[in-house]
Amino acid sequence: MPKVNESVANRKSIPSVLVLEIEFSLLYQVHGLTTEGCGNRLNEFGVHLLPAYGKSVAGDDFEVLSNGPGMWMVQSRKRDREFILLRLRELLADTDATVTDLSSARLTVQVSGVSSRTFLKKGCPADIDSLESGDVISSVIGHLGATIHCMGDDFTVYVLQSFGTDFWEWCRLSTMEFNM
Amino acid sequence: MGAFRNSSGGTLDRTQRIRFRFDGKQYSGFQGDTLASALLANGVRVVGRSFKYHRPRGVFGMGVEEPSAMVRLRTGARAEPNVRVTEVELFDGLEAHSQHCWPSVNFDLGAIANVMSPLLPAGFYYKTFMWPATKWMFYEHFIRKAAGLGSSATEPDPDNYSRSYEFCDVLIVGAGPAGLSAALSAASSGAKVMLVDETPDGGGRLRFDDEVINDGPADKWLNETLRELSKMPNFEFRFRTTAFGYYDQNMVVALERVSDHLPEPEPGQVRQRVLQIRAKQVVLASGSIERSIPFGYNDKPGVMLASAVRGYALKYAVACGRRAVVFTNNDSAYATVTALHSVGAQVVAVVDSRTQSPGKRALEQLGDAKLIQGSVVIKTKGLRSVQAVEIGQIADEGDSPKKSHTIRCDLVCVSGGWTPTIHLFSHAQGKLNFDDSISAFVPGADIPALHVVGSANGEFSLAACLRQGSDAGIESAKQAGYETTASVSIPTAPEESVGDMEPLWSVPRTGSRVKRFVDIQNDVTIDDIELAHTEGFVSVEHLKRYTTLGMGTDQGRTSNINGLANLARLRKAEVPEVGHTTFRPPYTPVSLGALAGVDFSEHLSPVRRTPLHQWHERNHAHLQNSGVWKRPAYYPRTGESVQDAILRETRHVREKVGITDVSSLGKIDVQGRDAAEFLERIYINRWKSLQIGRCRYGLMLREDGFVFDDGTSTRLSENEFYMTTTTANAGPVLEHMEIYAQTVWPELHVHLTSISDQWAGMALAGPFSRNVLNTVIGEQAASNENLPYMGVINARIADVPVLVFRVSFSGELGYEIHIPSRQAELVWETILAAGQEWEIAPYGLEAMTILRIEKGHVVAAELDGRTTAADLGFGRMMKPDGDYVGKRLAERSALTANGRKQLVGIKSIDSSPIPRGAQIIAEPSGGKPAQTFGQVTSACFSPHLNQEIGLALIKDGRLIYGKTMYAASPLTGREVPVEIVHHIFVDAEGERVRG
Repeated sequence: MPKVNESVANRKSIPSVLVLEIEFSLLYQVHGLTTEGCGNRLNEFGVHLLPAYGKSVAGDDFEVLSNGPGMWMVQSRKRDREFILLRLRELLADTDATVTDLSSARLTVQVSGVSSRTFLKKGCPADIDSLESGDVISSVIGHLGATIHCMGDDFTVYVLQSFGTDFWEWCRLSTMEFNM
Repeated sequence: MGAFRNSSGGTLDRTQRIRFRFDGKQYSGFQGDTLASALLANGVRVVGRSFKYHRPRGVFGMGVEEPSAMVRLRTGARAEPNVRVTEVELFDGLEAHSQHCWPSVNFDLGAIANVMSPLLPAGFYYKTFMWPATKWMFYEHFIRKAAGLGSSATEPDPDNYSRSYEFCDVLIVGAGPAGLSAALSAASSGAKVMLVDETPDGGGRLRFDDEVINDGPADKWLNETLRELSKMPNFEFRFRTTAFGYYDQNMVVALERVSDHLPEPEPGQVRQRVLQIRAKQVVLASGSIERSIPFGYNDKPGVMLASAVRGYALKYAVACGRRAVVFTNNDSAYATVTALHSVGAQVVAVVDSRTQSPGKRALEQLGDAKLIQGSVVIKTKGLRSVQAVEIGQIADEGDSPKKSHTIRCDLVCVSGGWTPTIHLFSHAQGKLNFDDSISAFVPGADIPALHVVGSANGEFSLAACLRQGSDAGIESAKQAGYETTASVSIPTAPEESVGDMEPLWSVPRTGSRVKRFVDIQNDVTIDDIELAHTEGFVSVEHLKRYTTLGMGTDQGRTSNINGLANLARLRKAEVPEVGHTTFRPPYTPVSLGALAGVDFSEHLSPVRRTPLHQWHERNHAHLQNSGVWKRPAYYPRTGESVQDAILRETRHVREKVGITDVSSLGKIDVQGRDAAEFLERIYINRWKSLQIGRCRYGLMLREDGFVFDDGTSTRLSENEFYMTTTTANAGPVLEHMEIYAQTVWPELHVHLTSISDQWAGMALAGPFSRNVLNTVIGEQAASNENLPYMGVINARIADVPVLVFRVSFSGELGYEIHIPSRQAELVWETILAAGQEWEIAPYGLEAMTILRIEKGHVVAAELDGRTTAADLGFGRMMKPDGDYVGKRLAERSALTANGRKQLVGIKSIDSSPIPRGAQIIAEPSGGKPAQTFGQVTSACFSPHLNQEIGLALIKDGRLIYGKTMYAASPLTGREVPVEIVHHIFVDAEGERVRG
């Protein structure tokens, strides 16, 4: 559909943007893993191939996000924190990879709704409209460093936990026009 | 309805009557009116008063060029000053007030300034208020009060503002004929196209001018084009949006007035939005602005731009006057004659300064109006508005015109030619050329990825505008990677000559006191320019600043070129030689609220909060800024002073047990098979020998040999270290190490990850700290054998896995407990509950500072970038063998020579507080200059020693223990005698921390 001052044309037609915290998100930063090095080591998590740079793959209860050259963020919402850390280290023990637990280090939020992109564009200087499902970018939102994972019109956003209150406050102010 | 509105015509929605108030009086207009058109329709002529002389001013233009008809719009917290009435869309209940006048706009006592105007020429305040020099601030108060425009609201702005980052292949600025033509071509290629226009509906003059496109009425083509574009999914309109700045790499910043056309924003709706648009290609179709001709008293209400008069007649069916005179030097003004006839106004005469005949079309448009060629309007007559004009002929160039006759009229439609709107092109560092054929600056050499088309490019024929726009649309899409299909047809219009214009930069003087205004916003006259030139201000930039020509909210859109040309005349030079002033963003005023967006008040800059922040708030901690962090400074009890609270907390740690939040410490996970080797090279001391489960204090240098940062690092496993840094240097240390890991020692297998947010930290300190720890992790685990000084263990508190470090920076038995930050509050409260038996209490940053000064522990105040390890007493930590960052330059003679400032302690001899930052001098100086031997870096009252103490960096300080020197603070006039002592005041032998 053509866009005519999207948020002005007919405000009543604008659906809400929903911003929710994902409280039980486990995160691990894996450094130094290569596709060859990974091989089939992550098969038991349903991850058979590492994603290309800036992309993600989903496994069984797991997602692997490429968040830098040779850097991967492993995310899970279901399993035990210590178990996954130990298991990942065990599986990758004979590679050059290292694993760091960041499960408490990030505030993880889910942004959904058809205006989710319009909402993110208010604070993120990256080209949000160009993101496709599975894309991962490291940028900023509301001046705060953020990793953004696109899943169609839904996004998962990771920001430093210590900036969490600031980020929520930015969300509160920035979602007001979407009748949140 | 207003007496100046025709009962039919225009593009208004006459079914919707709108009521509004101006200066308290109620008027009405129609949906589609601007405040300007509604005021004119109601016969309101005087809208405001001028900046300097308080002369009456009315509507002059029709859009962004309006220099003088500005009002204070809305009331209360939403009141906004200096709003151009020409850009205000009328809404029901609108309230506007004239500004800069008292008691009313029609009777303004400030107009006394006009009577005194001979005493107030350009720059008068530079010359008149010189004596005595000390009184300038006194004078300035009154000068500023007398001049100026409107005043802003004093209440907080209740509205929301927003920002949006946009990307497109082709951005088109301006939705006139050239812009729309470009949009059609570019969008048909499939490129992502965005079109911004400052009006509510685009179309420019095609909305009302009698033009022909594709052999049909122009408005038909306009509506079809808008319809066609709106069907394209790759096309986006942004109306009510003004592109106000052009920055590097094709970033155009625009202001979208989201709800300014409404009485007030709907709940939650933003008022204005700043768009930061990154475009691969930009097409500037920003049009042109008609300029004035300076003649006598050309500032009165009733003198208007001819194009504006035409627009009000055709778009709003408003006659701006009953009897009009058109004064022009070009053909375009002739169309105003027919427009005025259409709304029932009489055009008495067209005064054309040219001697040659106007073009064919202009003559057709003249109708039965009288044409007076080779003549000028000398001046207007009338008190508050135009009542007549004097006409005269100029015999020779530069001669004063001779008055031939007077014409009674209430409207003068003036056209001095057209000035391309090239502000954004100039923002992009585009050079301008002077085009003699139109007597205007036009874009010069091409700028990559930027296309200027239509009248912004100096092209005033409609056919050429459409053609240039279409070509630019095709080319910009192509350069953005899209090929336009052959089916794109270029809209056509009759090829008509727009006729030659003859510049008339001012009507020559006819009387010494007749004001000929160049800049009617800033009351700058031809006389002011002549005065500036006489006084040596012959550069355009100096002229601007001396006279204020081209300053203010309109930035001289209708006046600049006249000012420059008159300066050229005085310098006997051509206009291009004189040059032009620099256009800078913003093109038009932007509200500070829009620029701030949501970044205001406490949201101005990001704030980091520790995982225990809410606990601190619940327990009434006084929070203070520590870099970007909010940290608890102290926890005052009822009736307690700040100082009492701090001293109580400090004593409590020394005598019992305290707990404090140290979560803001930087923490870095160093992993890899070469992690130990990496630390060996980063720190000045040894790391390979560190056993698993042990931690060590480390110091790192910058490349230049000075101390960079300190902290502890712990070996968690063979290849994993847990490093801590100072709060302030958490980021810089990680960056420093990443650079070495990636570029200097890529052969080392090491990975670095910030874990500052992963782990919360709390320091437990005091004689009973082990008792508390026993309770939460068990006596065996907390025993001296299992957890010796500088030892580390894994433990569980409240079933949360934690790391317990036996470290202390307070000089007391102490531990640091690090917890995954999500569980921090649970663990903190568990420890507080377990410590009740030993009266555990939280302490803040202030007490921590006193404790560390007593212990002589260095922080940022001492690690100030100018100290070496040896200066701070860490010389023996520097390993003699093996390399590390900074080693080479740390060995240079200047850093190892005698006479360097060394860290020492100081004690106040007479018990007076030691001024922080004071200089150390040898003898009392009585405030006179004296040789300094160093400076106080930290100072406090030590409750433990019951003494004022401090740390200082003093030349050869460690050699003069016991000596008396003076801490001099010239700012406070104090000189405190101090004794130089060892920098560790408490637990110098380390018995407490190891106990």
